[in-house]
Parts: sequence; C-alpha cells; structure tokens
Amino acid sequence: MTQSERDLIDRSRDGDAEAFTKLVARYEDRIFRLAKRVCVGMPADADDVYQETFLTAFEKLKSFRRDSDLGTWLYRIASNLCFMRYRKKKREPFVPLLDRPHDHEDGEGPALSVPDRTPTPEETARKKELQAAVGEALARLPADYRLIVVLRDVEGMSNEEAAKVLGIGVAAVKSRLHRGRMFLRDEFERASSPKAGR
Amino acid sequence: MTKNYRESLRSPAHLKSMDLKGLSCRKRVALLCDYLDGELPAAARRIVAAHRRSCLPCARVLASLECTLSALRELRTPARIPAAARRSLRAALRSAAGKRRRQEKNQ
Ligand SMILES: [Zn+2]
Repeated sequence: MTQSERDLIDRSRDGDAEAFTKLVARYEDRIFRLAKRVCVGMPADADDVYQETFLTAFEKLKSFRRDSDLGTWLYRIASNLCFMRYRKKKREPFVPLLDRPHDHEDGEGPALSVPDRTPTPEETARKKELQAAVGEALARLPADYRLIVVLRDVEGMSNEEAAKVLGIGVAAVKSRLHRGRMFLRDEFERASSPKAGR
Repeated sequence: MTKNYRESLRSPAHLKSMDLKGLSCRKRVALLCDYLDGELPAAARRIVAAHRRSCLPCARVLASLECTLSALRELRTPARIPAAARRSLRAALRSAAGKRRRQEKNQ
C-alpha cells in the first residue's frame, strides 16, 4: 500500500468524503465489473452492489486493518453483497455440476487445432461467437461458482487471493473453480462443435 | 483434492509411474487445470506435457480449456459505470459524511 493510499484511508476513517472519493476512483472500475459479471442479467442489482460496496466500506472503514489490502477488502464486501442478493432471490435455476466422465477411450473427435497465421474475418467472427457462448454459459453457473470463476479467470486473481476474498480455503476455491471451468468448457465444446445446429 | 494427489506431485519418483488414465475424472481435471495455471512442479509438468502428445481426449480437454480460459480473459473489459450510478454514489457519500459530522457534534 502506498503512503498516499494510507493517508487517504486515515482521512476517510475520520469521515472525509472527499478523500474517500479518491479511493473510490481507484477501485470502482474493478468493483463494478465484478458486480456486473456476478449479478448478470440484473443490471439494477449490479448498480446497487457497486454503490452499497463503497457506502458500506466508508461506514466500516474503522474496522479495516491497515496492514491488509484495501482491494481485497472491497472485493470481499462486494462478493458478500452479491451473495445476499442471490439468497434473497431464493431459487436459481439448478445447474447440475456433476462429474462427467471424459473417457480416455473415446478418442474419436478431432483435436482442436489452433491456426498460427492471421485469422480470416470468418475466423474472427467465429471466435467472437465462441466468446459470447462462454459469457452466456458463465451466466448460467450458480452464483458461487460464477463468483470464483470471475475472480480467478476474468479478474486474474490467484487462488490464494480469491480464497482471502471469499474467506474459504484454497482447496475449496480450486474444487469449485475446476468444476466451473469444466462446465464452461463443455458449453464451449458444444458451441464449437460443427454438429451444433441452429 | 486428496492428500495423495498433492503428495504424488511433490515426489517425482512417484510421478514417473503415475498413470493419468488411472486417475478419476475429478483428479484428472484438477491436474490439467493446475497444469494450465502453471502450478505444477517441473517433473509433473513434463509428464502432463508428454501425456498431452499421446492422449487425444486429454489433448482435446486441454485445448478447449485453453480456449475457454482465453475467452474468459477477454471478458475483462473496461467497466462502463453508468453516470447516474457514479453521481448518486458520490452524493450518498457526501450525505453520509454530513450525517456523521452532525452526530459527532451532538455527542
Ligand atoms: Zn489422457
């Protein structure tokens, strides 16, 4: 943490809204992006989570330990707020995330090849399509899996950072991350399979 | 993640005989994810890399996982916070600060 950030935190603790707004400016893009990805399909909720995160942080800043990371702390507040919304909404559509056998025996399908040359416009369009498919599949993951995938694979956090944000163990992060990734991978395969009729 | 899997990764001698085909689906996925995340020790990494060349199903899983991860990274686009939300947050912070000042004065 830089000295200027420490100063801003100290002034914010004393209730200086202007100092805190400077901290907001440093972190708000990340927090909003997280809220938008996790509260997918509920844009008003994403706006609320974004605002509530910083209002809560401003109020609770006295309990923030100065030796910890402000970004992690803000992510944690935002993650909790996202969860609370989903708990209120009660039932999410159930997505089975069971172990699916990926048999070693079924070596039938063609291996995916990655072309080395400059992609053609068709290939670029196809890539966009597949990216959109992954984004849509992400929205269908249960919220807790989605949150972990977003923290790790969209925001680029390490397993350890994600574990800190969520207050769970690294092993728990990894097991949910792996299942979430495999669900998305299956959706990616489905979208990229030539048999995928439309 | 079982302890045995973790331990087997730490001791390369063990790994030499490690048969990826003998792993359960869950453990294999964990191994492949760790491989893509660059979290495997060098010896284990070499074994997975060699296996990838000889096992088509694992090669396919790895290739599509790589594409999936790259698609996810692309979602990390700059956030466009609605101007109204931005403004209302700043106004709410000012009003919270004012309220706190008044409370402190009254105490
Ligand atoms: Zn294999």
